[in-house]
Amino acid sequence: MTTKNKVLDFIQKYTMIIALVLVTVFFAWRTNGKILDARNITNIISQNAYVFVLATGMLLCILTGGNIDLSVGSVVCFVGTVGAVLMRRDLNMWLAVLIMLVVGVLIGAWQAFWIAYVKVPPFITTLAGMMVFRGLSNVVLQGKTVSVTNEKFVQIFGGGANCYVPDFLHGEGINLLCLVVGIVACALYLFFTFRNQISRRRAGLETESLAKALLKSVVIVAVVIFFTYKLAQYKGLPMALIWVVLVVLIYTYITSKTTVGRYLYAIGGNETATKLSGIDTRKIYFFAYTNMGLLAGLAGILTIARLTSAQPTYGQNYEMDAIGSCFIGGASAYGGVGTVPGVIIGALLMGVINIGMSIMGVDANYQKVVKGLVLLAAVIFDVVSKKKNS
Amino acid sequence: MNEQKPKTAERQKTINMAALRAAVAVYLIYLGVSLVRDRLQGNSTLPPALAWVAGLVFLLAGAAFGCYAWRRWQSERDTAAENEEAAGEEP
Repeated sequence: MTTKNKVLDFIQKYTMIIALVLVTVFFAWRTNGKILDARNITNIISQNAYVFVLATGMLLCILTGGNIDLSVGSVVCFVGTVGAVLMRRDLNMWLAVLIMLVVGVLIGAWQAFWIAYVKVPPFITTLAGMMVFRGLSNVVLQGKTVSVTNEKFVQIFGGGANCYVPDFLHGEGINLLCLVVGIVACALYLFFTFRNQISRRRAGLETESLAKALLKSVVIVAVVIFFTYKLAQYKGLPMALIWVVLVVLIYTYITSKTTVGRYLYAIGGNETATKLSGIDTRKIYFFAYTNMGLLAGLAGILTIARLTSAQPTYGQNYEMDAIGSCFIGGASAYGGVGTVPGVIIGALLMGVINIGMSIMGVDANYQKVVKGLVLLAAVIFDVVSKKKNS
Repeated sequence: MNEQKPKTAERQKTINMAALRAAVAVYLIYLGVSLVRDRLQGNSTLPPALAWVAGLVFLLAGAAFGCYAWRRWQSERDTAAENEEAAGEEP
């Protein structure tokens, strides 16, 4: 392969990561480095935690063959409404959280039934869900705001001023726990990456070159150390980050190491062949959409904890943020291709753009224009790719 | 519960892909409409020229992408039907 082809191949493979780096550099320049301040990095994570969670769930739906869930924003609002109203009546916080998750699961199962067993197109089912649950939220709240005053709830799930993991190691001037977590995370990543490499070589399977693996590892470790150092300089690990990391780890495991994850990719790749293999595809669809309800419930919890209230307008356009993250992050709408990290990259890109513009003091209408242009670029990429392939 | 003839994988994919593109087209149109509407109602903080240009660009791009998505869905649906016949499956 010539050098030019290698470079083009590299650019094509890592387009989104390159875009993320370029956008970050641009905003770092325009904000005189403020976007890379410890506080702003923390804000990117806290304010966009719901996008990461929703986009992860949306990815599982998209893996089944480009299906999307348009109801997530309304479900976030409705679940948040239920939780706020319950806690307002002094219900135990953990019981309220459990009820919120159960409500999310039930909504997801309701929609999943129509999609998986009655074969109503997901677009139609979730469009109806979007209107139903937005309407129900308005009915319950009656246009009013219900505040969330349970401090423990806000501290554990929120993204506010005091929602950080306490530094048990009592660092002086820096959050030692955060640094240690970053170093341990890097050590674990290196251990599993090279162990996987060694196992694959022993089994005679194809592996990437050692130099490439080393370079990739160095870059990832450097980024993780940079971010954890920045977080440690501020208040440490935000609670919202813990929830996002948990979701990412669990769903990376599910999509790559479990049979249900393999089935999701299989359905997206070839549903007929999957059926003929004896797999009940209806159960897999049911799982994907019920799971989306669960993650929408979690996003609802994170939203009302961050904003310390429930309002009928919450969650508006959340589905567009999640779909945009998946579309931009390169998840193939044909299903069968797409990883949780790719979705996270898409969500990070949107998050960096959002916060970069906020720090620059860009007007909300200008922000709409920029978001639209980013989506337009992804659309043009989609059209041009098709022309090249055909 | 309804019994439906199972769609082939290829046909299902074309429908789903069309739905995703439709959602993106709708989003672009919605963005364009909201920019133009804010301008007309005097709520926009954008310079008038930018509000109109951006609003119309998104509206037209969304509509164009929607038409493109429709035509692509039709051609992919026809291709899927041809492939089904070639493979000996019933459409």
